[in-house]
Amino acid sequence: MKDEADFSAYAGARWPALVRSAALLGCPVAEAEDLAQATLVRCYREWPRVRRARDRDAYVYRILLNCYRDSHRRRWWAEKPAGEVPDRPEPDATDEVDTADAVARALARLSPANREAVVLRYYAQLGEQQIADVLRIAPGTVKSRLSRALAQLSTDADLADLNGGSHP
Amino acid sequence: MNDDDATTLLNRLAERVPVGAAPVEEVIRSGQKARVRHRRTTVLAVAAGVAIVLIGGFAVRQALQPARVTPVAGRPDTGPAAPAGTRLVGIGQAAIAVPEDWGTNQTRCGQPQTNTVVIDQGVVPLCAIMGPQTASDVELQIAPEAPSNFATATPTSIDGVVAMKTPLRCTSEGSFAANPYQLCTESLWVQQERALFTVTSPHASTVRRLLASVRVHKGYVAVPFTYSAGATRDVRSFTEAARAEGLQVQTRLDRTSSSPAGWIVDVDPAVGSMLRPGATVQVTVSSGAGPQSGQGTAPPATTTAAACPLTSNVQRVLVTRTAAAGNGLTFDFPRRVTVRDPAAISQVVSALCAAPPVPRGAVYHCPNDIGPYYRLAAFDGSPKPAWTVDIDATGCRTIGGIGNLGRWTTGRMWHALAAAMGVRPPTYQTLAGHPSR
Repeated sequence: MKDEADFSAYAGARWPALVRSAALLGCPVAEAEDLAQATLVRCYREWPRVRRARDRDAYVYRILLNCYRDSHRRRWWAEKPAGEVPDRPEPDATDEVDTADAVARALARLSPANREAVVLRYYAQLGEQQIADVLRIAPGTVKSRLSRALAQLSTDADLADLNGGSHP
Repeated sequence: MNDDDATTLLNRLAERVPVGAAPVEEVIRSGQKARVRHRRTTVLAVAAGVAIVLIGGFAVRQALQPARVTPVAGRPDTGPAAPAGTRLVGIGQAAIAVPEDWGTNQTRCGQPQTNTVVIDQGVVPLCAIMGPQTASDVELQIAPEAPSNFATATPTSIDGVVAMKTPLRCTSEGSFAANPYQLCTESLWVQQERALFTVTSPHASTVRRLLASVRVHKGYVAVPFTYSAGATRDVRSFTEAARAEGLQVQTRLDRTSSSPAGWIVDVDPAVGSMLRPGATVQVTVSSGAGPQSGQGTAPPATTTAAACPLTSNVQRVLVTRTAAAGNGLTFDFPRRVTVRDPAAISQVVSALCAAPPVPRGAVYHCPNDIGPYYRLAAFDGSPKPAWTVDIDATGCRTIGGIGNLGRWTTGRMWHALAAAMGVRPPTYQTLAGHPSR
């Protein structure tokens, strides 16, 4: 029971960051939620191991990235059906969609490897050594990926538009 | 751009991603099921291991071989022996024996019209089904994970390989109150092969008999398919899948196909056929030079209805999809898609306006209504939509929101919508979801 309470607290606290990390990696919002949920299910299944991990967040982000890579390798997504069938108009979600599109566009031009490094460093706020552990690469490779990614982002037109608040 | 800029920017972007409440309870329920499945699989695997040891060293050597046999070029393309009067259809090394006289993909709206195997089904036009299911079908699907309806499945072993089987379920289909009928179904999932076999029939004995014929044929592999896994039906995906199974691929160009370049037109032997690794599969591929390349085979345009209040002069159309609970449907694209291409919007509006109206006072049944429907909201600069249309993808397949009368969906409408949403290939089966009973 204590494990379950610990997990509930951890999942509740990390949910927004996991969803948003997945979105920044390039998933549409609905898929980002599915990905975050799949990540937490795996965490729950292996919770004793996750709890004992030297760096829990790095461990969980590794699970997230594995799920992300698996899903894109298979290009298969399980639909998580809605709880009920709405039979009346829903609130307009255009703004949400526009935002999700903008996020995807903003990072889509990065290579997958550079995008992963950027999200882990500048959103998940992992250190270079943690990123190296998550991605199983050398710390020097993390540095070079981040450097290249920042240079590319500096000249990204979509990011400049969004940053200026001119996006509809 | 420096580190601080990047952090600020990513956080600003991230904050714009809407996030609901954490589904902790749902995660825990799913996690508990996953733990149970893991334990059951482990126990069964240990039991199977003990049995193998008791059988003897030869069996052990067989069991310890890699899952895939090393390709041997030039070996004859003959599959394993099928029981008399049957043919084998499979995924990976797992195959089911179906009667020789059964067809393939003989379905209408996903419902078998005659006894049939359903595998790698391509374009399936949506249409109303006005009668009960009287035929049987065996559906093969690629399933990397346990399907959602496997919560009550029990572990079993097939030729030493762990599998999960759902209990036989027969239900009375209530859509035809005057003529109720029974439909039975049972599924078997061979995780190692990512193979899901589902048999559905009005007769329980047929379901049991067919599903009991599933075997794991070590030393053979099925001609793969990629479509049900959500991958595009292009030759590269197929070739990768075939080579992963140890098969060789020879391609031939078809310059008359209307499919986009690189898409598969034909596979010989057919997908699901069991071969020895090293055997060659002939694949006919579209060169993209045929008519309507890149757009699939669009149904012919029909006359636009006279009174249609929908306007195509809008900035964007937001398409949202909703599915009912518990259907186990899978889709290959997001729930929400924004269409901005004026030409695509115009095509959709034109097709919607051309849809035939449902006669006033019409009485009709709506079988197979499994939930997914689409809402199209058009915006022309105002936060309030200029118009909103609801499209029921299954069941009655009607359109609401175009004037006062409902309309029937059409193939042209589905095609235009799929193309506008960027669904490639624009299949109606994809839009209706991939049902896993």
